[in-house]
Amino acid sequence: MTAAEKPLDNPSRTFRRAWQDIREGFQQRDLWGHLGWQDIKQRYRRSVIGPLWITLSMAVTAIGLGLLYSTLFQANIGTFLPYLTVGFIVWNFMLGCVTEGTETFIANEGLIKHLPAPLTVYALRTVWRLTLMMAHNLLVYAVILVIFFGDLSTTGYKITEAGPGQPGLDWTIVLAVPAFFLIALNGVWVALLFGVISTRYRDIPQVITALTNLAFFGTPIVWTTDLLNKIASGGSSWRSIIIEVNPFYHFIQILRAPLIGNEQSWHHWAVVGGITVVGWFLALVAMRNYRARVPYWV
Amino acid sequence: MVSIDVWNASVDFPIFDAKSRSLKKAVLGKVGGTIGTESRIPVIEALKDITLSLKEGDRVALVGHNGAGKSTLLRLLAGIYEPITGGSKIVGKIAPVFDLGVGLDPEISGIENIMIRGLFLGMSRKQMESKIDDIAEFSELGDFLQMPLRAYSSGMRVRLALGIVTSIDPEILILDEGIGAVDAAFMDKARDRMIDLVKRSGLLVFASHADELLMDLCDSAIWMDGGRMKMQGSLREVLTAYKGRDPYENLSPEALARFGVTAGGDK
Repeated sequence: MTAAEKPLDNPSRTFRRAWQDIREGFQQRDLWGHLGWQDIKQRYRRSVIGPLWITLSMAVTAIGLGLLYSTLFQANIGTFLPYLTVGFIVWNFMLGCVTEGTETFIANEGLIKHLPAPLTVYALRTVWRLTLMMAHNLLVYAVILVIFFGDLSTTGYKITEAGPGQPGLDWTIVLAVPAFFLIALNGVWVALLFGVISTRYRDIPQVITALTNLAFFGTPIVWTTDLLNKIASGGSSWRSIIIEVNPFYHFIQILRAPLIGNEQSWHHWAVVGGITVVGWFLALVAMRNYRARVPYWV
Repeated sequence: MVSIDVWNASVDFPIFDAKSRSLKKAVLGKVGGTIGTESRIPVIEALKDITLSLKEGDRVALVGHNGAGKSTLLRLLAGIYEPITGGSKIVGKIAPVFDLGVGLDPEISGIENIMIRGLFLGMSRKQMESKIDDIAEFSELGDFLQMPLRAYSSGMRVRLALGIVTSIDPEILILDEGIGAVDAAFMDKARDRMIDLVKRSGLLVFASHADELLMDLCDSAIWMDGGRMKMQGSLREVLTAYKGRDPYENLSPEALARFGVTAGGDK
């Protein structure tokens, strides 16, 4: 080493290093792809139908809740069941990103301490595993789509009696692809940021677990915004505002709306886009300051 | 060009729950540095003020008592820990083998472990698939590679781990003491391969308490004591100072011939 390149006192805390970690992490596709798939295989090892359990448990939950809530809300099962199923599938993915994201580094303690690799690999492993699980759940969506295609493709169908007419399934279903990518991209920053914080403060995963049930019932998944608007009688009361400040609502909406032919609103995309930018910025800052500390903390 | 540079590096472990969580687990049970008390969170100063520079062709032994900081230093050299103060710069493809069994997943098969290790060490799936036969042959594990790793003995794990790291042509080989678990016949085979690797374009750092293994693999040495580098020099000098006697004096003539030294004189 020459005197000219005599390095900084602590060269590990720079944005360049944080960015390098993220870039190299994404490049090691073989690695996180393999690890994520390994997780799924491992979880269902020695069970007869294997990963199809993911599909089956989703089907049971969706049908059960769909029957119950469509009766409670006096909604048409043909439109309400797909609404609830898709909402639930998207919710499961996001929930996974948040709860398993907090465990990203803690769960990989052994690997982090034994093999040098970019931390981003572990975040991508988590998100990829959840993506594979979501792919299994989409089988339920496919079946439901076949069964209820008639209901969903009718222009002007209503999810509940109170709701406005929906445009029905058409070419806009392709928007589900960029929507999913955007949600998954958010999953990565969530896993990085929450992963770093949770590794240092082990209470965070507990806090998040405690809040997830509330978030589930507070997000329009088993109920619809139509019902809330009816109670609020159309005015922009505090009830509607509560919905708008719930980030999960916007995330669910960008993916659910195209999949079941609902009215799409660009403001959901704008909100999600904004969260993506802010979230990635926060994740970068966390990675800059604490990336090198994670192996000490796990 | 392969090199490792470390300057003024210190490593300390914060112990967040010194009361409830055993210190042993938190620091892998290998570090016995000073426990600092100035902050609210107890800190174990595992390495203090390490400055060293290793280059291509170096075969370095790490010696020292338990808790002297050998394993922590190895992790620093492998790029797993980045120093808290000071800095480090590592150039080259690194292949570390630490405590066996932890870096490998016990529930999955030997083949799967080969694949995952290889991917971590920067290989692609295709490259690893072509190496599996070579690793199977070298490690002599045969059909055992299909078994989950928990069925392996510790010697078999070492065979697997050494098979992987030596087959992927790493530039920097970092070995912890665990590799002593294999039998002599296999060690001979592995030694040839490792020496060959280092000759081609490599660098080896090896921590062990087994003198013969060190003499086999290394030519220089670092003596760690209390998280500091107490001495750095040729293997014989350092071992003599560390043990208080010349480690070569009681060896058989055959062994001396193998290590290329004479009982009384220098290399």
